[in-house]
Amino acid sequence: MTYQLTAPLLDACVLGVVEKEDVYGYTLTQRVMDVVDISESTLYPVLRRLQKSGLLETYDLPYQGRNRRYYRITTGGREQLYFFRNEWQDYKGRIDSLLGGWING
Amino acid sequence: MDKQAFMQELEYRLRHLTDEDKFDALEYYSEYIEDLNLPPEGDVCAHLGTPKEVARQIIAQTTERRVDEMHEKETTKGFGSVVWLAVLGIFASPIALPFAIVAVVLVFSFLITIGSIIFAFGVSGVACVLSGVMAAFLSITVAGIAQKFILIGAGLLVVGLGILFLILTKLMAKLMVKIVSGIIRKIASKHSKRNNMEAQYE
Repeated sequence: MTYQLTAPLLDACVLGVVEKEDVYGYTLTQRVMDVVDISESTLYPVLRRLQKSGLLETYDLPYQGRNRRYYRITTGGREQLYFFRNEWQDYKGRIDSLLGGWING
Repeated sequence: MDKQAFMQELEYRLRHLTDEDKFDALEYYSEYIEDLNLPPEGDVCAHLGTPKEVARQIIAQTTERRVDEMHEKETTKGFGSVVWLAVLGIFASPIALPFAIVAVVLVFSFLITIGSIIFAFGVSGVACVLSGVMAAFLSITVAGIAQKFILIGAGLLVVGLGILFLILTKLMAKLMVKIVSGIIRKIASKHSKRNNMEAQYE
């Protein structure tokens, strides 16, 4: 991957995945790893930060005799995600305008 | 490294975090490793990296968060734990132990030096206030109304100066806490970023 994933962008991606459905650590990591190059231990600090700033909340469900911790997006998390989406569209649009080469040049 | 060994070392490396931070991390990784569905002797490190690297990320992120909380609330409370986390971070970093010790010693000598200067200001402030008050009282013992007034006036002037010193001390202490925790935060966030980058170019 030539372009680097910055911390806010990673936050945004995680919020985006969790908004679609509640996830636990492993599936979330797999889903993000399918798209971008991160290591398997990258997401824990991100999840913890989002949880601590009230953008995500957790609940436990039993699974095969142990617990699985699910992450769910909060209202604040949704608002933050909308903000991130707008910022991304704006940023993408501006970079595209410089790069060009999209639709018939 | 199998799950048990990995978890044991991770717990050891996180032992100085608060129970809440530590158990949350341990639970997450224990669960994650279960979800990896490795064979009994499967190598956890092939997926997650070494416990040391994992611990480093967790400590770096906790440090960042603590500093952010401190700056948000505009308090100096929690500065001790931030410095403590920075020391842990240094030991969890990939630099060799002798260098880590040197780095920790440097951090502490820096803090002690700055702290002493601020402390000296504080002590001077207290001394000014006390001697000013004393001078004002001693004015009883001198002869002559004019002399008495001069002494009281001088005493009050010194008291005022002392109070200014104390205010200055407080401001300096706050500024130092803010600057030092800011520096620590910057280093910590670089650490977590570097880890991501390493992963990208693997």
